[in-house]
Amino acid sequence: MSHWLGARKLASQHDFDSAAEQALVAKCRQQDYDAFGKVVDAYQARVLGYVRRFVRNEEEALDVTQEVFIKAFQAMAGFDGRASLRSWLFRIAHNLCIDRARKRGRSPVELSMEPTIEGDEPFEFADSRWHPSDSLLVDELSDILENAIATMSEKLKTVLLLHDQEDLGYEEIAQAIDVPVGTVKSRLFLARAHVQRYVRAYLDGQPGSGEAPRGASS
Amino acid sequence: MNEKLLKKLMNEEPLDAAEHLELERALEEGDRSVFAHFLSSQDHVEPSLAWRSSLNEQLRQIAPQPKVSPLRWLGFGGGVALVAAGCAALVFMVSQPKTDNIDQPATVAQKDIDRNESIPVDSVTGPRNEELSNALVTSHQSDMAQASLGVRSPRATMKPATQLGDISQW
Repeated sequence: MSHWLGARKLASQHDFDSAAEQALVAKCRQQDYDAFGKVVDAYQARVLGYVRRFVRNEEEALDVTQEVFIKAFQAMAGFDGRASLRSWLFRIAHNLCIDRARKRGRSPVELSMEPTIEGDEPFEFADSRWHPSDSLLVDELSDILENAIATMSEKLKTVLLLHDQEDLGYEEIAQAIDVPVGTVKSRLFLARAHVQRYVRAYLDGQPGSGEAPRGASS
Repeated sequence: MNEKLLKKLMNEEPLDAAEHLELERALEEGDRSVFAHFLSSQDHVEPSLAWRSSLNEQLRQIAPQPKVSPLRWLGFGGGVALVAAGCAALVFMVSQPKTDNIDQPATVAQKDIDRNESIPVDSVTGPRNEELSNALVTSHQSDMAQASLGVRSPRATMKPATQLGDISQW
């Protein structure tokens, strides 16, 4: 786990403090090319990491990420600063991903989760096979998690990634995807429940993988 | 979590206070779960330099070009006008035919001599030559008077006009 947290620290070194962000945003509003370059430096990896969960391949993810920053640069004059810069960027990314999904003719899949008692208990990795120090098992966990996220509806996936991966708060997520805070919380709960059920199904020897676990059929 | 609350969450219905508390508790537990930690520790992959270069190029194309101030245009126009005027003056000077009608000092002096010599004596005499004669006499007497007093008349220092003719002999 410490290895993961260390990686996280490295990834967040680019974040700006509030004053620095405001100064940068002020320059970007005036279409300052160099200032916007700093914004790209800070967020390109995070936006790419988010977008790649919603598109078919890496190449498309790179294209969409470029589009995010181009749209952001064009719309920077209209950025009022009420939301944080990162939640605004993720909002653009989210909208572009939804647009792409619609163009592909793939409407966002809603998770229909039947209420169950057994699957609602918090899932803990009591099994020693999941000790994170073992890189092979970490890779396996990563694959399972990737599949669990891939089989999730886009509504849930968005909230899960913005909260657990990008570390955005409930308010920021609500601003980014334009829903009430209560809805963000509901979706986050359901998204985590989906992952939990998926992993449980895997451990129970039903690695249908692409297939959603019971209660999360799409 | 009870069935009623789960249905409410799936339908995105508003929750009462107790349900809200239950949801908060479940979310806090979820924050501590290994999945959340795993996701938050995902390493971000930086895009390639080629990707970044391509993005920079696109941004540069849509970035507004810096405006050139009117004063700068004025300065530029003024510079062009100055250069043009200089060229025109140069062309004018070069295209001007070479003329020899500029009198040499010696020639001027000779002309003066000729003019002086060409004045007929009769032209200073005539109906009103008495007045001129009187003036000359008066002047002469004045010069004489000054000479007797030891003061040289300025006219005494003047060289005769004919001496100018000697310039051509230098």
